[in-house]
Amino acid sequence: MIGLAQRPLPGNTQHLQETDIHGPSRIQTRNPSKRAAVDPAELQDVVAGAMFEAQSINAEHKDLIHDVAYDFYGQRMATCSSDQFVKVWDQDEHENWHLTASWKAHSGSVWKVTWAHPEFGQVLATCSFDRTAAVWEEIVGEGSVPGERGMRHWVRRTNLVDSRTSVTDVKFAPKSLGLLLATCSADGVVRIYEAPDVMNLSQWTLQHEVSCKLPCSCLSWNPSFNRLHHPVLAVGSDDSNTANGGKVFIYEFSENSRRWSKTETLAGVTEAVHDIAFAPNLGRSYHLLAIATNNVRIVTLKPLLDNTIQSALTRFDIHTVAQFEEHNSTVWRVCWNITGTILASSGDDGFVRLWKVPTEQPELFTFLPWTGANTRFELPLFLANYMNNWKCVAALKGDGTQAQSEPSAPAAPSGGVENSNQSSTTSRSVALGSIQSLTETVPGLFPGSKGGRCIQPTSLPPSCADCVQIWEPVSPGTLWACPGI
Amino acid sequence: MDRERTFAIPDEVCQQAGLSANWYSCNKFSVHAYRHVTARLRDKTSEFAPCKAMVHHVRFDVMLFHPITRKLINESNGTFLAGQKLIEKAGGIDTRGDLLKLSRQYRSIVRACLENLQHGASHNDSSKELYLELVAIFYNVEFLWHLCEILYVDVIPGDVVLPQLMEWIKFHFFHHERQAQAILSGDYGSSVLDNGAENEPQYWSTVIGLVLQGRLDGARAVLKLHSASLSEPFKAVDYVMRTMPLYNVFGGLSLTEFSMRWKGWQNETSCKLQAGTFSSRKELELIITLMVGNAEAFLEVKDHCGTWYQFMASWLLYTEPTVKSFDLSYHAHQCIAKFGGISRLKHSDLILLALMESDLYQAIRLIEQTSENGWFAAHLTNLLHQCGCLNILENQQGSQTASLAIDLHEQLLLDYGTLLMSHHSLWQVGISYLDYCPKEGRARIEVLLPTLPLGSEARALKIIQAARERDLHHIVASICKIMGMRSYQQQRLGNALTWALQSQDAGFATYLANKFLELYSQEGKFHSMDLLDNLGSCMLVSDRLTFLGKYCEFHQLYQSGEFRDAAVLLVTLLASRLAPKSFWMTLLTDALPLLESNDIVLTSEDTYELLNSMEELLGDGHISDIVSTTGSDKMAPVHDQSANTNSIMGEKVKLIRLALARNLARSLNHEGCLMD
Repeated sequence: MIGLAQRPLPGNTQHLQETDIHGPSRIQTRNPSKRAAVDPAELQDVVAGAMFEAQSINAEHKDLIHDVAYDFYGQRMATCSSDQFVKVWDQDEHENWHLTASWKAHSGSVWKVTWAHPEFGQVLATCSFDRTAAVWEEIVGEGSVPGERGMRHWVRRTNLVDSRTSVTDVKFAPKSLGLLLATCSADGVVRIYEAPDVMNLSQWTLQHEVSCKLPCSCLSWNPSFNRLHHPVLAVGSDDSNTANGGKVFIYEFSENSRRWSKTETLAGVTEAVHDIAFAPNLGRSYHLLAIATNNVRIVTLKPLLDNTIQSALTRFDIHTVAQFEEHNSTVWRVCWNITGTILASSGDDGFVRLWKVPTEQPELFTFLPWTGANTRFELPLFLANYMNNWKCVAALKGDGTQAQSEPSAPAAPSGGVENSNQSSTTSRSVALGSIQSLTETVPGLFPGSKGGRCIQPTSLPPSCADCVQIWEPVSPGTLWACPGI
Repeated sequence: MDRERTFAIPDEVCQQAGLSANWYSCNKFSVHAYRHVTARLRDKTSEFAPCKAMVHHVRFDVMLFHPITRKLINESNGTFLAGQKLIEKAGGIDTRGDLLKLSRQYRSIVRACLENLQHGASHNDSSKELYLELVAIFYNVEFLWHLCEILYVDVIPGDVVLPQLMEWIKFHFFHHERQAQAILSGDYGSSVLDNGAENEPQYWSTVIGLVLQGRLDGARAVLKLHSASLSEPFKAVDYVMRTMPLYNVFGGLSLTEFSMRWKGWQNETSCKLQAGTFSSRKELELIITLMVGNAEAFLEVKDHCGTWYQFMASWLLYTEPTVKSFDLSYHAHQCIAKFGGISRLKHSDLILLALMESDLYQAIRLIEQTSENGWFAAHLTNLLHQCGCLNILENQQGSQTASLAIDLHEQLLLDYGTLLMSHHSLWQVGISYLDYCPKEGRARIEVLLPTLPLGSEARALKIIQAARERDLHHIVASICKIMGMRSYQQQRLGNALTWALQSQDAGFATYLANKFLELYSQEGKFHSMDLLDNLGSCMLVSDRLTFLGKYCEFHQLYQSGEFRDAAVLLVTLLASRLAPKSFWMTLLTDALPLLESNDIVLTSEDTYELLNSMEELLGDGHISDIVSTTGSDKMAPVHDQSANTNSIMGEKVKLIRLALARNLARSLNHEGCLMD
């Protein structure tokens, strides 16, 4: 007779007999309709677009949020706003966010907030319209049970008052440089502060003060830990007069002269610059810098090591390798993911776009003759290919119509100062619907995003809306259920 | 793809103000309403205030993170690692046989997963839909993998792939077989004469289906159930089916011999057909026409095949049974044309076609876009890489494509590894993939490993272990520092010191040792005695820690009554200047009971040494420093230096002086007597 259920593969007979999904008795008798699901003729196109899940929390700021910063692990979130408050949120093991602190940090809009490396403890820095920058440290109260969420509060360790105008950006240096903090201000001064004793955050010395003559809007440290590289800082200016020349400046620290000096001005960027970000360096020999200006610009900086002997400063071979006009408007913010593989840009068109870095990265510049740092080359073919390989893989945009159909999340009691241990009740989750349902296949956005499906936002049952504390996912991509009811 | 997908964030403020995004992991980010304000404008509340300032956390829904696929991930990781070891050990020896075994292992892992999913789908209503979707995905994976295995992994002598292709088709398309079984299990056998099986509605389609798949035994069995099965045409068909030669590598026939026999059989059958042996039975005639490879007949039964590849396999079976794998591309295109052309192909059709065209690069690219989060692409590409299939590309299409393909191989492993690294418990599996990415793997580990949330101490130790195994000592040091800082902030000094010792962090150890001493000065007792007593050689990390360890030893000796040893140690601590000046007074105070004891434990030499230290301390004017503890600490409560404490100090100094003088007198006296 013809062997029906037993088509063993050589080498793993026993296993396959057990796992033969075609076992007629198993499938046909129980549910014939299931049979359809395993017919290759019918299951060919499981390829679809990426699906996102979103969990929304009400940050309880009274005005728009200016900046959101995540700690090293992505488990703590700090938000700052025009309402002059800074709030800190902690994620629990179920990935729900809880408000653990909220305090009035400045007497003006708080522009930026940033975390120090956890080696220095739980430390935040903020900068504000009120002309100051501040360093905050979280203190765990005495007598708290070890390992538990004890009484915590944030104290201001220092107030950096050297600026005479609004402090527009603040960033901690890579930890290998010690506890260093850079600020820049609207009057065009970049200041670098150091805490000489990392165990004592109330002492900060103004180490360097460099003027770049144009109003500064943003700065970014080069995250490269390579010992061959000098510490590098990029500063952007939002001066709108194109006649003033380049708007991105590269500063380097020279070990010999022990001072910071401007080594490059990116002459190609003359429009106002609103944000810049170095990509995390994963072993590349060059640095990638994303610039938010009238478009998104990606610039590579390749240190010219031969030159260091003469000038004691690394100079760079600089190329614009990509330029995205898709926002059709000013670009406000740029942000890299931690592996530097995807860039998120925010534009005045109300969109956030995600750009995937080409995977086939040519070892740039290796074939280029060196003729001087500021010489611009015509792009060779392989660079042009590299440019073309950048892809916008997804875009996000606000859509109020969907929001209105959602039951409103229960509002948490408004937190005053030191609203610690107040568990947030505003967490809710929806699956994001796609506006355009495209039939084309979508290349993977994330390593794991090769496909999936799009479903419409799932609404929470209205009956839950006023009594629910925490929502738990039942299964990925489906409804969120309330365990308490 | 020309246009990106657009996702809507359900937030009205976002719509009006615009939005901004911030990453917080490889594949998670948040968006919030954002309106850029420059510092030059007046600082005022925005037009939206008061508004709900929402932060929307967006992450990708990763199917592989579903618990049900956990087994698949872990088992396939084992197979992957076995494959890497195999290649490392082989060193040029042909490993095809072993690789074929690995390939089958992968497939049985997928089938085991399918089994689980089927089970889950029938027992769990709430996530049935998801399970069925996963079943569809993994079924497809196994289907494609099987073909890859036949074409690229398995070494077929003489490159006669058709028998394997037929196996592949039979394995996955069993509709007709199942129907045949239903017919065969019916009760036609007993009353064949009055009620033949041909009354079954699916009878002839089943027979034709079986014939097309080359299941001739089955076809014969079903035909026997026909009420007229004993008539002449049926007997002739049975004969034709029985005598059809089938190629078998191990059958002892050479390829040419087989071809001759096959030709002979086909001619004989054609003759019979032309002689009208089967003309009385239309269905039988059609079957025989198919078996002699008549193109029109095949077009007629096209719908029985369902897909172009089934059609292709049947067509080749009856026209060119010794087809070589490199001819498949031609045949595939012919058959696709009959099924509506390239434009009608679906995604998995394109993958099959690329595989048959030997365009592995294209095939992998297409597989990469399927929805199983890179599991399939990474493992399959790795296997093909080990088989040397990606190197073959090099010879065929120039080094450019080959290096692309090898880059692609690494890229897929990187992507898959990175994805798993982002999961809180699958990171160890993920890192094992990154280990095998020679170009970028290490850099990626260096970025990702430190960002794993540390959580409990056990978890931190696991991460440290992983970093040690890869000689990433700076990551070990950093994690120890972070854990130490965390313990310190929770006021767990002993714990913090353990972490500082783990990473040999001298600065932090010194700081903590100072903390211990400071607490001792305040409270008169040591915390974490068990740790301090057992420091051993670890105390050499920093001078201050050495002092702390020795000082604890002094206390131990003193408590166990070994006063002489304790005294010697105390004097050594002072004489070697190992003790911080701020602590000298404490040491001198500790010496008091020894000086005043009935037996003489401190010699005159020792006493001189103590006196010396005393004078030096008072001469430096350190007394005020002694009163306040080390002042540079951010956590230290501020001490008030009242006159009261000063007078206590004065008293103390007086007492010590007196004791020293008395002991000096006693010891000199005693030593003098001994001399005599």
